[in-house]
Amino acid sequence: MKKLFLILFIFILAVPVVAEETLPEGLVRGRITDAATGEPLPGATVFARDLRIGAAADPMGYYNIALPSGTHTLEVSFVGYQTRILNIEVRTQYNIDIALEPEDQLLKEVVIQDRRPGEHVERTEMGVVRLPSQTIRQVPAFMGEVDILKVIQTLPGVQSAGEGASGFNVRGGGIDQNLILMDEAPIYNASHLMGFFSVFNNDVLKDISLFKGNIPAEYGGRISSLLDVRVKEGDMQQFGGSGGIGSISSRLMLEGPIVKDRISFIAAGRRSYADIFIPLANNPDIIDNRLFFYDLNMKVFARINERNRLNITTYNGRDIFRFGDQSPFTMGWGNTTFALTWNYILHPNWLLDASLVYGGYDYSLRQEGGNTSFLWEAGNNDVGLKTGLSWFPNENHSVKMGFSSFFHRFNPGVFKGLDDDSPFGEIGAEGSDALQHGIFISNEQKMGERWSAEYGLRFSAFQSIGPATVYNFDDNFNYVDSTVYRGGEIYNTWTGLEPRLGLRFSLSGNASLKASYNRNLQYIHLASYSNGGNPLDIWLPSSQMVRPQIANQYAVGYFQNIPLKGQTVESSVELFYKDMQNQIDFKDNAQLMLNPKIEGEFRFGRGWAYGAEFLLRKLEGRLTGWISYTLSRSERQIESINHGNPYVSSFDRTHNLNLVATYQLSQRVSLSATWVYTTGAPVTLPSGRFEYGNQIVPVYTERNAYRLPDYHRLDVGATIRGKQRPDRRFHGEWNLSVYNAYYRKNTWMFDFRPDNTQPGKVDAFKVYLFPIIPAVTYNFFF
Amino acid sequence: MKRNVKHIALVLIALATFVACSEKIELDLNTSNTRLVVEGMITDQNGPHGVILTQSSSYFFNEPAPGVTDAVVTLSDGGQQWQLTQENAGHYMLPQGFAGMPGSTYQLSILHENTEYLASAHLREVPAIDSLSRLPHPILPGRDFLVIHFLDPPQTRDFFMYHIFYNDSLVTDSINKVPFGDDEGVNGRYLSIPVYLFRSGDEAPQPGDRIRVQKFSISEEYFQFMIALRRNQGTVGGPFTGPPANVPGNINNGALGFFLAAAVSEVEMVIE
Repeated sequence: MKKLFLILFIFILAVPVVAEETLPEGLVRGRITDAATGEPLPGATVFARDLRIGAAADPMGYYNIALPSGTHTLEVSFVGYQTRILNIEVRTQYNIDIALEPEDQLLKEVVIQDRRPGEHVERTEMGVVRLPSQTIRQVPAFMGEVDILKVIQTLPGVQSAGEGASGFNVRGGGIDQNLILMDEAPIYNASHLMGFFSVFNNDVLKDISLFKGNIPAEYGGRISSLLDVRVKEGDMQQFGGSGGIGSISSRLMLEGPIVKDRISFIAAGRRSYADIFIPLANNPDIIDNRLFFYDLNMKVFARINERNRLNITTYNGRDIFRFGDQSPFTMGWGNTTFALTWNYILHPNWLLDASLVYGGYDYSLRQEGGNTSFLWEAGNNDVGLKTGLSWFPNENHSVKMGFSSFFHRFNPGVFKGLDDDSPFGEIGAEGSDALQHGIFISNEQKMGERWSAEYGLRFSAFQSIGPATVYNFDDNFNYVDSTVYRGGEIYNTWTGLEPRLGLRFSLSGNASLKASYNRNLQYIHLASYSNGGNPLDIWLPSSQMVRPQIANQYAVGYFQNIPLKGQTVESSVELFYKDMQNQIDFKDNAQLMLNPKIEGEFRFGRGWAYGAEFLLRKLEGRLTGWISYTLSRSERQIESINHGNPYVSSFDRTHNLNLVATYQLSQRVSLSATWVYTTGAPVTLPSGRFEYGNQIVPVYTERNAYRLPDYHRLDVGATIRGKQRPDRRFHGEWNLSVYNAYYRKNTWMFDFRPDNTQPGKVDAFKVYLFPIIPAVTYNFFF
Repeated sequence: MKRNVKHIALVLIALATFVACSEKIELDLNTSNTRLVVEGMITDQNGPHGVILTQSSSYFFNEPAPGVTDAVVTLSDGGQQWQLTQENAGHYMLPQGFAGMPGSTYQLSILHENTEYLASAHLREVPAIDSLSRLPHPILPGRDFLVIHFLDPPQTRDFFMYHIFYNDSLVTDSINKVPFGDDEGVNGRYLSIPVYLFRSGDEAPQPGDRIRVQKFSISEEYFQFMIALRRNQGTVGGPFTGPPANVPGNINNGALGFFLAAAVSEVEMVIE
């Protein structure tokens, strides 16, 4: 025992000494932080101009850059901050922490920036977009609220699932194929009010990254994308906050130190008063109704000592719809997340991070009053552990390895009468549990002057665990019998290997070629009636019958920086092909709700998508913005659907063109505009009709053979900053925006109604959702 | 039962959460081949029973479906055979006095344009209605439900539909007004099911008014048919309907529609 202590003691003492001796010459490391608040600045870049070597700070703000010994000039920059130039002598200085001063004009520039203009040419990754939150605020807000999901939908390869739907499709993949994480905790339904807003309150966001291809090996579980949302840490030095009062919603954010320089917090709340959406004014029987959503965010960040950092992030949000006074009907849905992350610097070359994570989504419908009261609830939650160990052996390698293990609980829905005299029994599907594991290793490697590669391997596994009652079906999807599993009994194990590879070849200082290959597995699936997503969607695990979804994605890209009058215009072209196996669709007239034998409603097949994505971005100067254009196709072929023939998937949009621009008119005023154009969504329409029981019944022959009319709209906005008084912390700005400025009545769906005056006559109607919507918000900061 | 409840929930959700405007448009749709449509029902009550045969048409045909007048229709129960005679265009009737027998399986045969179309239906017993009563609506003030009470047989999975007559006038005069349900989750219990909502204002029930309910024992296939019919009315697309699909009938060779055999239980209530 004593010997052990002695060894440990010597080890601890020896470590700093050992570190210096073993640190390879030329490795410079440190942390980049905000000089005012002490917050780390992930994504800030350190660039050695003479060598054209650069590095970006990781999510904790740490950078490492390998430089040969000698004198070097480093340029450290980050959007919104003043760039610092440092001269360093590499032989003796190994650790340099750099603090950057925020710029006076936070809102001066840019709509989207990958940290430094032209940087996209140097980074290996492709198919990724990073958005620091302050740059999103300039984009015209939908109904006065900034929505990061709306912004990513203006990027190439990303499409909205439909008007008002905040579910999105990436490279022809379904809306359930996007892994959405907030500080590592999963969010299952990222939208409020069926897509009018997302659950992300921009006031608490630090940055977001969308990986369209090339999902890092440390992440798994969805086959089309990863949306990594990071919550910012509270100001370590002083209290402050911001908020907004608007015509549609209001919000408040507060942040500050709990222990100065050591522990900080940030908390925010947001609530809508969207009760204007209730269209029941015509019905005198409806007395009282309420429709609103709220979001609550909180994060506590603690810098325990030089080596240890801890942060706790939590989120709770809900949409509530209620009507009726005496016998109220209430419907609600929402996510709750919790994440505890520990970062530990084992050694200057070794970084450990571990997170304990909880994410849950549930919905409920409740009818009170009398013996017909009922409750219908469903949901799912995850609890898990995720760890990673980063190792920087030398200047050419950056290795990461780790594992994750999650427990999933699925409650597909139970309906029961509440009253003792209730005529309702209990109907629904039993819950089930599952375990999902992953273990990975990856490396980012520089090979000489021109080549770099990012490669990794993930091994994932999924196990169903009892207690559960499993319904078995024959090859014709008819129910055969059921099997009961005891608690803790493991049945159905699925495993797979997921290689990830990215390569970059520098053609010149200004251009590069990139290629990537990714294989991803997905073990949980969304059973949804709609393609845009709705709050009653049910998530289900893989099983004997439902195999994991698999995607192989191949992509190549060409990236070029074009100098234009002293400024840089970034341009890129990316081509992708993705094939997806074990895609799920539903049989005709499927019964998805409260159906314990829901797996019998599934049909399986494959999908494939391919396309070309073009992007032109200008990040500097008075006029900033981007133009993105995607030409793509997404198809499915599923047994017994469309007679087994391939059909265009419901999220196929042939053309998708977006123009986003911000113009800084003066110091205080900026104008912005967004124009969106997409080919209409595929739709199944009748090719005939017959009469039965005095009713006209449609006849369908092909799935998705028609399209809705093309969709386009213009949003405009203006932000007017109040006079900035240097002695006052408080300042405000007015934000005016108009959604759908030229009032295009974009078809949301078709409706066929019998003409009451003429029996047998059916008229076609187009249903459209959003007229022109102006909004005003007053935002304040202190 | 469960379907009605789900239906209510879905309708509420759909109605209450969208502000949607609509505008009439002209739409051009391709036309598929015309097909034979069969609407037929036999019950254990005295007739008249019959089968209506029509043609399908293009979607904007905008006229009543044309009757099929040149078909030969026969019914058989495995032993006896009956010929149906055409009385109006497309209406083929069984002889007077025909009544179905619970427990029998009937086969319908239609010969039209050199193709024989066959459908089979089993006539099951119907659990009798015990009584009727009025129950106030939980949300809408002053409105009442008509509730039927009956004991559901525990040994079978049962499916029902109802026709309502108010003062001898058929209320459920089109198929989408016909309530239907099953005994999922409540098998074997004594059930109380709301089947009709009394009107309000001028059309509110007066003392002396008579309300009659007929309960039909339908097959599981017909139950699925009714669900599909409801799902495919009107709106196409949107977040709660899912992709539209054809209603599944029980007639072969591509004919549309349904041939149903059911037993009926009938009870009448006089409003006080």
